[in-house]
Amino acid sequence: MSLLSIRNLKVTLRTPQGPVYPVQGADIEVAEGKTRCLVGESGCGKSLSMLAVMGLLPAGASIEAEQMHFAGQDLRTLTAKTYRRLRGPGMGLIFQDAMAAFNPVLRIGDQLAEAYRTHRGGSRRVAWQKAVHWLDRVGILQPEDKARYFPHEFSGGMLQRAMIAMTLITQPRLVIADEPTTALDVSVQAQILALLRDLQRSEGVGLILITHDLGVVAEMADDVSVLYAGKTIEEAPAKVFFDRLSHPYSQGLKACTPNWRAGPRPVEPIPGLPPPLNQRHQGCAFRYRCAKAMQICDQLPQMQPVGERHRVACWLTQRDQEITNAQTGEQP
Amino acid sequence: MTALLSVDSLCKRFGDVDAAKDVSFVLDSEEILALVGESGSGKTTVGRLIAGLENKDSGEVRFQGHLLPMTYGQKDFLRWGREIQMIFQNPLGALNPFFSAADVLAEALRFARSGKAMKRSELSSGTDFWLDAVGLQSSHRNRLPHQLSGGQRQRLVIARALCMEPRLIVCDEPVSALDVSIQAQILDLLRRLRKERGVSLLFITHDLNVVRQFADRVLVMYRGACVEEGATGDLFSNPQHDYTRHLLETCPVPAYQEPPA
Ligand SMILES: Nc1ncnc2c1ncn2[C@@H]1O[C@H](COP(=O)(O)OP(=O)(O)OP(=O)(O)O)[C@@H](O)[C@H]1O
Ligand SMILES: Nc1ncnc2c1ncn2[C@@H]1O[C@H](COP(=O)(O)OP(=O)(O)OP(=O)(O)O)[C@@H](O)[C@H]1O
Ligand code: SF4
Ligand SMILES: [Mg+2]
Ligand SMILES: [Mg+2]
Repeated sequence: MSLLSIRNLKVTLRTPQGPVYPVQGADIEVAEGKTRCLVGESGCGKSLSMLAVMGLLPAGASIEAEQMHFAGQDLRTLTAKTYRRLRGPGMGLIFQDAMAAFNPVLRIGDQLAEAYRTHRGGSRRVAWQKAVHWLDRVGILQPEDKARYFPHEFSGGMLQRAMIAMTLITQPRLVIADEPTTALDVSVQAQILALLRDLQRSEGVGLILITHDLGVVAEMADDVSVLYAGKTIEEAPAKVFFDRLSHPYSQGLKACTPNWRAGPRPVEPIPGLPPPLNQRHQGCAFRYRCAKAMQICDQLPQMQPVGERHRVACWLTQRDQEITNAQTGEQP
Repeated sequence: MTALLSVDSLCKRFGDVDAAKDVSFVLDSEEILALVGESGSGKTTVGRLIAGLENKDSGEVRFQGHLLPMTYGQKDFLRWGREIQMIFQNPLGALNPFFSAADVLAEALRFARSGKAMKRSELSSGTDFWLDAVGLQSSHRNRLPHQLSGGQRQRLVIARALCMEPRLIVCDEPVSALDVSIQAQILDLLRRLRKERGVSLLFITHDLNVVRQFADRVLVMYRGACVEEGATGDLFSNPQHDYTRHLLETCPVPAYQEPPA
């Protein structure tokens, strides 16, 4: 069953220099017990679209969407108060910046315990035990001692794990993890990913994983969405993502992925920059960097199904699809 | 030839944790040395000790033959702070929340000139140059740190370190938060700086895929101590220490795998 279903999400921010449109048509769908990975260039709106889902956008931001459902509720209609109650037990966000999530003058264990008590109640003692338990589950050694540490006494990776513990302690049904393992070495990373997978199996937690590490995508994803300049441009099951992506940007993204097993091959960046976000897209946002751009690319391509759970927003793909359909005599 | 940096028996304890235990290594000019190891193994601590951001318990750090002080004072930062720059693991904490991207770079450029006056036009062209070099756009100029995305903040911190034209950069997970395309672009830039300006890098990371294509040599840390050191190719083809082998085995591969049953 679909746990979260977002269609055509748009976020507008007001700045002194005028409005910016960092999210312009994001589609995100997660089923219970499944993982959707979100990939895309730095600044393409991954974090902001997730903040929008969590109801945590900065003041002055506005949202539009064709659909925004979470567990049968329409997120667009929620009041600030119901939203607050939904966060924690409903959905939890593991922030990209672990340091920013903690209060520097409070002990780690107290901050975790407080998060627990806010949503689950109970005595201070039980909450502290929960805090220690979750520090242990994310692989912090000597969790009873470490719970007494202040944030600056943790290494980068320990802090990131504490952040993960703070989100999981309220046992949300949907976990949104924004680059949760970037500062973690591979063995701790493997441990965290295994923990998330465990929670999915045992409790049917739905997971949105933002990552730029395609190794992590390979290990975790059921489905993958590619964002470019605030728009979902391709979504596909993991196998399709690695075997035969359609969108020229998705292909470029894969081509510049380093892999040590392939030897010391330097990878090539995709030339050019994403478009500025102070205007709405008129055509395909990737057309200035796309080697295959055509005249029609000046018009905005819509997401079109090309296979099972596989949709693409690209004129070229659409044309190829029409040719194939014509050859096989199928109706589009 | 003397090494650019030589570290000899460096030690640092926090309470009963040995964050750095007898760490010794050398770094030549124009060399890229990767420092890898599990979380909490002391990588950041070693970087901070070298940059003078943490007091050394014992051991020696020499830079271009000069012995660096055990504890830095204001003067030491003025003298060495420009030559040895650090790119921090946590960019939000490393940026003043009230400084725009342009302010951050202008301040760094002024510091690099030891406070000598700079023409406004010079400052603004310097700022633009470095923003562009890390792939930030003119629309990011006046943004405050919290108005930038995670990867954009990271690039701003990188630009701030690079614009001071240091001889040595201690990079703490500089590209871990960046998508693959920007990552490739930043690594390209660092390689170019090494070639054109002779910069050396101590490159702290856990990403072995990046290490393989980027570093000349690799140093592996485990619980505060160096356990293995070698040329990148050798270390990957013939790892000696168990921990190194373990690291290589657990590194995720960017290719589709059948889900476990
Ligand atoms: N200011 C401090 N006070 C107490 N302990 C500290 C302090 N700074 C670091 N430590 C401890 O020293 C050890 C090494 O920390 P360090 O930050 O160097 O690790 P790291 O290798 O950079 O790890 P990571 O990959 O997680 O960033 C850790 O056990 C950490 O808890
Ligand atoms: N408060 C703000 N005011 C103006 N622009 C903003 C603000 N916050 C974010 N942006 C811009 O919106 C865009 C999307 O930001 P977001 O944080 O969602 O990116 P991201 O995809 O998470 O990138 P990264 O991978 O670098 O974290 C960025 O270009 C960013 O500069
Ligand atoms: S729509 Fe056109 S410009 Fe955009 S990715 Fe497809 S071919 Fe390239
Ligand atoms: Mg982000
Ligand atoms: Mg560190």
